[in-house]
Amino acid sequence: MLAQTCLLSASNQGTVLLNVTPTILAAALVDAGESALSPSEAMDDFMRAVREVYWHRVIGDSRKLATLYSANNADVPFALGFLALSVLAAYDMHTDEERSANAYYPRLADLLGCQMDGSYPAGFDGFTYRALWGELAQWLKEHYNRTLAIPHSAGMYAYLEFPLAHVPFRQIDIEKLPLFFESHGYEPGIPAALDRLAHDLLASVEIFSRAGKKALRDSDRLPFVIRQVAHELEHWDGYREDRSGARVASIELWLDFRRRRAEISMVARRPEGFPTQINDGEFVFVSSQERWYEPVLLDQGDGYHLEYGLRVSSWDEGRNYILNCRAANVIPLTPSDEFSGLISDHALRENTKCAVLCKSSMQDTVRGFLEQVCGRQVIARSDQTLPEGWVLFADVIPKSVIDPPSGLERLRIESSVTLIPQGGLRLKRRWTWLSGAMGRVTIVGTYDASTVRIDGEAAVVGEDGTLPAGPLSTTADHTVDIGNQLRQRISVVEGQVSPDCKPWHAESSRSSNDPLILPRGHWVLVGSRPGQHLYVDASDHGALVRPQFNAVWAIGPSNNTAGAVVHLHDNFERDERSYHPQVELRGNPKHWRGDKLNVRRWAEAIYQSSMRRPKIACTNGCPSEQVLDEWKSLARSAQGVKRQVRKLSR
Amino acid sequence: MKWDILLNWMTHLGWGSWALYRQAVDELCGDTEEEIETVYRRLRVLLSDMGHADFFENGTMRWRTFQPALMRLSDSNCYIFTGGRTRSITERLIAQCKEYKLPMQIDELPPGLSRISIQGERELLDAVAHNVGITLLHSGAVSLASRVDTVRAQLDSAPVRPSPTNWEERSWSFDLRNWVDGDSESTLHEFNNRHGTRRYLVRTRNGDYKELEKRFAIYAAALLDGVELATFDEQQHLFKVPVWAPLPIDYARAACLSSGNPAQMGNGEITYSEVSGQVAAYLLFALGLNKKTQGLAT
Repeated sequence: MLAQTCLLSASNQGTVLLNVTPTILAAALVDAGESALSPSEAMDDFMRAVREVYWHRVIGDSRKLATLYSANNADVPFALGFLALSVLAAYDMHTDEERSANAYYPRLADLLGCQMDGSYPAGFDGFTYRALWGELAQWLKEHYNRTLAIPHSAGMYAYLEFPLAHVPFRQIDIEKLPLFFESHGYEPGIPAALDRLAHDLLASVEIFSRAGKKALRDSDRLPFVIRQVAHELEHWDGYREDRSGARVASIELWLDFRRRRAEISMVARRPEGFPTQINDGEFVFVSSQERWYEPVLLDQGDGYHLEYGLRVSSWDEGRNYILNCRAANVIPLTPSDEFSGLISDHALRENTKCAVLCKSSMQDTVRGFLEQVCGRQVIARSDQTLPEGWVLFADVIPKSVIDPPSGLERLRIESSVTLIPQGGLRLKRRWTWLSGAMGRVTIVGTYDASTVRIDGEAAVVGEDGTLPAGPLSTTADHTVDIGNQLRQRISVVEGQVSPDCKPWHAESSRSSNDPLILPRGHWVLVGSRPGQHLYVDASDHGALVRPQFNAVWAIGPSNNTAGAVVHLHDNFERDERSYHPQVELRGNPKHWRGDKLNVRRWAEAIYQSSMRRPKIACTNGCPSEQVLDEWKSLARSAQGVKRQVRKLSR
Repeated sequence: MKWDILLNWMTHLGWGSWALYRQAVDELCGDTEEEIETVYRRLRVLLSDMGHADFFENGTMRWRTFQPALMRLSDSNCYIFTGGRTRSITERLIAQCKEYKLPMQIDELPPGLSRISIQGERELLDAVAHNVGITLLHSGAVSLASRVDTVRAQLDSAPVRPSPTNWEERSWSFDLRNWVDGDSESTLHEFNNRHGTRRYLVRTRNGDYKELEKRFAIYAAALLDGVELATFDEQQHLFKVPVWAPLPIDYARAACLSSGNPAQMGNGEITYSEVSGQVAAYLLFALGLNKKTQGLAT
């Protein structure tokens, strides 16, 4: 999982870092088909797992760290988890900025959950540690022709340089990135061109810590800083806090075609902790899933909001939450791995079907540039479904990388290779489909088609970059490799019943406990056992009552003073077993004790009613003689019980 | 069976958003000639009424799949396979029914979504459900109907809201059986914003506006105005409501699962057939139609 995400996916000309952060761990879990955890949860989970191995294999063995050598050099090196945790210790060193670099080892000991043994964590030895890095580098080279970044120098902190080399930016600088992304107009979750990131990072070097500045100014480490920042951007959900303490998330545009008509909606991101609804009176964003609010369809009157931007804010539990749509004149839309259709982006993608939404006043300039990069004519459409004052260029497939003219910077062409999953029925994880409903996977960007392999076999890629459906349609875990540029696991699984499915109400094992509908008035429900009674005062609207016993009669009001008694039935059970049991005089009356009051009330209710010669009815239309006999039998029993209670009271 | 695959997917996820549901339906529909919005709605109503999933749970835009279950139809020994389903559970259920020699019927409602019903004694069905690992609901629709929230309770607990400003307003006229523009003296008011969001507010006797879900809102307004919208024919066991006032979701589900048949639309009415008297009594009571309630009226 870790090897897949950190070492075998994207590389910098074949060179990779074991760059681990809590965000990357969380992403690796999702990509591996594990449950979605927050970065801090993923970090805790990972730390616990490595600790357990360290305690059982390293601390408890005389060979110590050497126990982490791999038995089989074909497998992912066994020490990978430990090495990654050692990188995380370096990542978290920001609180030690003013201390000596040796503070790294106590931090590593904390993560490993062990004591210090001299200058190092218990069980640690530098020589083996360095050798474990060598083992990882060798495995990468042999099996994937990739180079692990290894520090050139070996000074007094020789061992420490290994993890530090894999942490281009530490946590203190990572935390400053949302502000950097925001101020430079990066879109959350959308990969950025590395050269643009490099340019912007070098222009903003002053906002970073001393260690961050040093990393940016080191030409050897700069490419890795940029890759780490690019990775953070890909996993940034747009969340940031502005200077007033308000929490701000982004609104994207979503373009979908229905019946050949373009529909544009705003889809707002919903970072962790955002309320389920943000409503400013005009716009209502409601969320019913993680990560996103539901789309809000734009209509002709919304051109203004696109041009000048939109902020939708509301307060929730004392905090201000803002959804922000940036002002724009031209908006590129590219395929997304989370939505069908196209999502607003900061650039167009080479050899990929994109679209461009722009102000009508700019359409000639935009058309000129798009025709240049596409090598063919493009047509602006202005459906009635589009915001007024805006036009849409659909079917834009850039064929060449040309710098856009001034004012159209957002139409840069990006050519980095990536996979776009579309269609089918995807499960919660981005790269997992339901068996029988596999979608399409398309390669975008510039790549060598002869290097594309699925499960190790050469694959014939379609002209539009689509991977062949056949090899990916079987229920299994598949791997797609594009040379040493990209590797992605794709899973096709059988459906299972989710534990989140809604349970049905637990049914009573006795259907006689079905509730009773009572019309207006004072009622007494009685059961066949002395003491079983329930007084009900039904309002004008009636009452639905669930007695905790088998109610067999309802004694109630009537139009005359004699009152009425109703023979109760459970319509559901019509078999002979259900009605009506004889009065059960259970146990010795002397032992009624605490129940005496209830028994007396039960007997009184029946007795008093019978004395008034009530009107008798049955909910199920039983023959009147049978009902009358039953009532008389109950009344006699109640009279007997009443006498017994009186005797006991003397 | 494309809608079986949809249900399989919904069962695996457990819950999801309305947008996700629409995407999945789009994906499975392909180039249908039917208006896609109609497909979304028709399928949603069917999945909800037949007890497969709950849409717009607690007023959200979310759906949630029910756990797979065998539910007994009223006054019979017939059980319907409801809730979520996966390919493996369906296969196990069919195998178990064969093993116990229980008559099983599989048809499609609508085309593409299997309806599976099984005849048998409770003890045998208990064993089948246990072996397959699903729930047996012996009381079925009676239990569902007796647990629906009454319209009165919904109205009483609904939050008081100010009427939205800058939203288009329409009022419901029971006389015209239609919406009329503006703020009439009507009890039920619909507010629309430009982005398709609709809110339903019921004006109570003391002038407050209370916000309710659409289906409850129209029945709450009918309750306040003394209009009776639902009827039950005891002889033919037909439960009917006007087509412009579909039953609240839980009510419709209880009515459909009483017989295992989806509602039929025609002649300006929605008709639920073969509804048991007990289920109808609970539903009428919950709608506030005491006079029509079977049972204890003396």
